[in-house]
Amino acid sequence: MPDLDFERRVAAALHAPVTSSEGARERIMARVRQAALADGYRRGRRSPTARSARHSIVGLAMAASIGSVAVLSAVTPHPALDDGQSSVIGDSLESRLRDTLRLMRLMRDADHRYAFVVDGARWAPDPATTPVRAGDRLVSLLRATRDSN
Amino acid sequence: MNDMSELAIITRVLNGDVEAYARLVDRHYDRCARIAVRIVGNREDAEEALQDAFLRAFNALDEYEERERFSAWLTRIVVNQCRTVLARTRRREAVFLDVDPSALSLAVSASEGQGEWSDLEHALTQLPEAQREALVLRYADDLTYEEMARITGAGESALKMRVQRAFARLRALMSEVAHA
Repeated sequence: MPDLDFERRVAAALHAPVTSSEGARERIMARVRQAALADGYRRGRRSPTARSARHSIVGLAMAASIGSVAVLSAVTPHPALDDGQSSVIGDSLESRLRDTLRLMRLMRDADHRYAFVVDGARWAPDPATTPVRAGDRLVSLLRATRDSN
Repeated sequence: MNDMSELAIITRVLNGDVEAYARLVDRHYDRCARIAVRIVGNREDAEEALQDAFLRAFNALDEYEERERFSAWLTRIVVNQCRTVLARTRRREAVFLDVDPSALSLAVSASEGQGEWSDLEHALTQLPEAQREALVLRYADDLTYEEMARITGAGESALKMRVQRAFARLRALMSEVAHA
């Protein structure tokens, strides 16, 4: 272990404040504003108490766990998911970075469309597929396969 | 807004109040600057890393989860940006390897302080990056090894070893300076 006195000296040195160039913080905010503008910063993104909707295809495949099946999922959120006409196909826990777990639910709605609901709160399309137009709406194609393990 | 909790500020930002983000920048800038300068070794690169880090944090704010301390979440982004800057610097150095330094008028960056601190600062730059990063997180930000592990992705025992080796190397370097 390092000598305590030397450790204290190093700690004090590392704790010493550093000077920043003039306007450093303002430059950060300028970039933030620029990014927000370019992004058309959307209001009401979500509360930090909710969880993000990112997911992996592996997680989705595990969530499905319904054998080999081709699934069409709508690209835009579907309001019919909570109307009582939807049915649950399967649930799965997906492990995430930072040791978090996410409940993934594969659902089918009344219109032969499929969707993934994350933590019971957020609808998620399949982000890895290329959306294609099917009739009057965009869909993404996902193949879910049974986990052989 | 000074008394607002970080969660309240984050919620405001997520609700579209971009200017509220300045409060988070103000609250964390000095601490992050201390980390970044110590890790990358100079103020210019550190400020570049900080700009990118705060911007990334803003863009990823809706991925922040309340269960984690915001400061730790932000520190992880800062450390990653510092690594990116260091990697870029290495590439830059590689690109300019064939330039004769004696042909250039090199300005020595002004050191913030004199004497021992100056020597220590110089010695820090001589440490391997992983050791320097571990030492800085441990002592410039008072993190526990558990927090450091979450931020760096390295194991706690590996981090303890890095800190230990960093101290040994620092001692040797400082001793060389003292006897020079």
